[in-house]
Amino acid sequence: MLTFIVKRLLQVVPLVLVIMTLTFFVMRLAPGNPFASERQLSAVIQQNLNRRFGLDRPIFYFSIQESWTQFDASGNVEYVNRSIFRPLDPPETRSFSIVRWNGMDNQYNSYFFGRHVTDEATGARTWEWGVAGGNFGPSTRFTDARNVTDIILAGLPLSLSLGLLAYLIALAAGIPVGIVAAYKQNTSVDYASMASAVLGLSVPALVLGPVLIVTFSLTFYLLPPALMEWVDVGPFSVPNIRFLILPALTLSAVYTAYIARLMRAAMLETLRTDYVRTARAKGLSEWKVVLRHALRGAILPVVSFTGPALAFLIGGTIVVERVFALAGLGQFFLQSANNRDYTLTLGIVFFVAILLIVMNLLVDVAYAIIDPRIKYS
Amino acid sequence: MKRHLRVLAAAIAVSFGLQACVSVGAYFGETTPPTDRTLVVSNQSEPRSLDPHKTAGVPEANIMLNLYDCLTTYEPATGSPIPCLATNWEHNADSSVWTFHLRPEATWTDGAPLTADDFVYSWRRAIDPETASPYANLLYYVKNGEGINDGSIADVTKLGVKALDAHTFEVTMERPTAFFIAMTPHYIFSAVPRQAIEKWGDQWITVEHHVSSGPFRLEKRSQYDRIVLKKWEGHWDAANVKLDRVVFLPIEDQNTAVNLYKANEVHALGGGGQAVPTAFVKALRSKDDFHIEPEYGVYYYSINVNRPPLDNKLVRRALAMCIDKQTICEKFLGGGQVPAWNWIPPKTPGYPYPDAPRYDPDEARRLLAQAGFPGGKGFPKVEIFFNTLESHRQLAELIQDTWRRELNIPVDLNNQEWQVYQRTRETRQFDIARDGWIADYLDPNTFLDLFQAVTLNNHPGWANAKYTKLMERANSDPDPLRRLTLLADAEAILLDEMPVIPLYYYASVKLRKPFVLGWGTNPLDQTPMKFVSIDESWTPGSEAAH
Repeated sequence: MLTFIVKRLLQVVPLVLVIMTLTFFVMRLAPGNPFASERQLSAVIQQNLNRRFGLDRPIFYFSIQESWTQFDASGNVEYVNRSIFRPLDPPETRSFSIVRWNGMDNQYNSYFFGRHVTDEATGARTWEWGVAGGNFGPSTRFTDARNVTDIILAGLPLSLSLGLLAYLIALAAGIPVGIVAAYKQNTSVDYASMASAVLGLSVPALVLGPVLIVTFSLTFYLLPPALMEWVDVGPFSVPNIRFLILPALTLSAVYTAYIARLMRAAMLETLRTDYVRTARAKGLSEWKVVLRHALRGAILPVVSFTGPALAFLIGGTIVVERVFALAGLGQFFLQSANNRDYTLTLGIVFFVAILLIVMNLLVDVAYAIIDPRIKYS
Repeated sequence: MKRHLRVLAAAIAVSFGLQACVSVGAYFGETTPPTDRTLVVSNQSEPRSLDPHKTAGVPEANIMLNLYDCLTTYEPATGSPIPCLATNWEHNADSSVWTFHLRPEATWTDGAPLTADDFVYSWRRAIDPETASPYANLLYYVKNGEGINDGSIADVTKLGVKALDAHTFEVTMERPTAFFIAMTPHYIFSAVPRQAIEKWGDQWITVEHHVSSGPFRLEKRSQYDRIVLKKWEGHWDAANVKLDRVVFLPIEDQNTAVNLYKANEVHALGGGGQAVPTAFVKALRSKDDFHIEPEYGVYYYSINVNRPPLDNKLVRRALAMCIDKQTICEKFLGGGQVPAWNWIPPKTPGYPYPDAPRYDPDEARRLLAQAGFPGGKGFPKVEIFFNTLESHRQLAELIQDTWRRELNIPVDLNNQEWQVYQRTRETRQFDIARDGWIADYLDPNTFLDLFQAVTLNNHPGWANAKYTKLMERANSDPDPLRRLTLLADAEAILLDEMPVIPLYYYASVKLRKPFVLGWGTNPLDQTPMKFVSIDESWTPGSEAAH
């Protein structure tokens, strides 16, 4: 078991590097830049900004460049190189592509590993770590020198409380409904719960959120329509539950419905197995048969779903956070991608990737604990 | 993607439909004044920075206007500059040297006096390429500004600014600049605290180290959540500041902002780039707290004057005169936009607007015939270029149809992704291109300047010696009235030559609770919060007293 966990943890490093490298290039190849706004910046100002954020250096260790020949004004042959990442005017005759070595001082290397920084006043060279040294850099969009780690940590409490509350609602509602529906298969109870599950699955948060807001906030003025209020409890600052109810309900709907359906399907199957029949034959009460014996076997699909689901509930609640104007990771992620805030996007991708990997690992461990048939060696 | 759009439409329809039936009466939603003198404003998005030299956005401007005092500030009703840190100022005969007399009692929030040296430091910092200020171009009017910013002048101290004494600040311009005063309320010209910046570096902008000079100071800053400004009792004008706190909420989703307004959690929204969603406009139009206010900006078509037959001004005039802008604004846009006949938007204080060609399709056909294309015969196909956006497409289709119907000329549409489009415009690879210009300061110069020479933003590529001469004469004229007349003469040339077809002036759609008083409706959409107050005793029907 321990070997299994260690092995899995060792896989994390290359996995995360691959995920982040892909994100890095997708972000960099998308048109636009972090400084774009409604107003067009002059070339000089754009250049000053690029220099400030190190975006004037080459992107990667090497680049593939299209090269062609053309004649200058006096008829001499000129060689023109141009990066294929920045196609401008198509050349009339395309001759060859060349691979150009850009050296170690490139954006990829300094972001992931680090770079030498020269102090202009003293001339001293110091090494500045990149992601490898835990430095996710400053945000390219939010220039008030808040580094990416700080921004993520600022959004984490909200995303955690919202995600966990939605998670608890989904488990607390989904599992019992699934069990009851399976136990009372083909009765009106079963039909009613599965019909609401289908409804829950098919109504997206984008619709459910506004409907809840209009009902509870704007018609009866019972709950706030958006935003978050923080309350100090001892040394901690916790979200006011009144502000959390509507977003958590909106967020949990799909998960509740999905868990209920998973639970029902697995339960139906388990209730027909031999060991459940044996338990019944032993004369155990129905209560014990279902909750002690059948549930343990039937919960596995739910467990494997809810592990990654928790990661998504914490890191990917984009729509709900937007509808309720909540300052959580999902909102940061969406905005940073829109703003081409390269470093912040990568930082959040890193965080969510780690969260997903850890959750999947926990699911595997939980499997072994719940089901005695599963062993990792 | 399509599915998402449909879902979104459904969501809007649901919330909108339900809202429409629950909101009756003169105001939209809950209308109860707060009792803690705290104004809550929806401010569209999270500011990139609160450092006036590190940002160019509207949401940032709304906040910084209250944190940092400038030499002048905006008069709420007109947007004209009125004294702020400078009590008075004068300039030499041709407006190339400006002298500002600073308020001796002004200090920073840390108690240090605010002097002319602070302005010298701040403007040098703003133009320094190391700072990389996105708005540095406004300082190009100051002597050597452009050279320092593009690196051709290495010495920042060459910038034309000087502290004659602690309270006298002198600015030397690159060339005569009579409109300079109109630019001075802009935040790029504010003073930043040298003592805090040198001590804390980039961290000076955090709440614990922040030093400011405006009527409000930074109390709380919570990422994507809110920014709270608190009244600063030590400010020289504190006696006239009526609000205790102003809360700025960065709400990206327009429907969410409207929901919060309806629940009375937000007291003012709209303007500054954030609009009330179009779906709401019709339902809310009749409410007393719904406002449509004109903006100092124009939506127009640039005509490439180097491409025949568009190089003929008769053709350009014909194209312009057969467009029924009145109907476009009223029937098609419907968001309070104003038909644009002149190039300069309305409400410019003291400006004698020249006559502009009006809607006259018969005259348009006559001009086209005079240009050698009777009944549109022989007119080559022209293309309208626009960047990908549904509203641009619809308007382009409408104009395509107009030109086909009225002038019988073939027109094609061509839409491009934004970054590609910008390149098309810069390199003038178009016949006719959609364009827009929103003012940085309240002076016709911000619009007329575009055509003084063939520069980056002069998309039509039009230049005219007489026009340039008039502009130069105007901007070195010491008499403000004569200057505006000269500018109007320049505009008349532009309107006669028609390198651009102004289509409409922008308008912003806003919701503002009736108990919010003192909010300016100036076309720059800039209201310093020190002029705003909340009427706590407000009740429905009491506004007749105001």
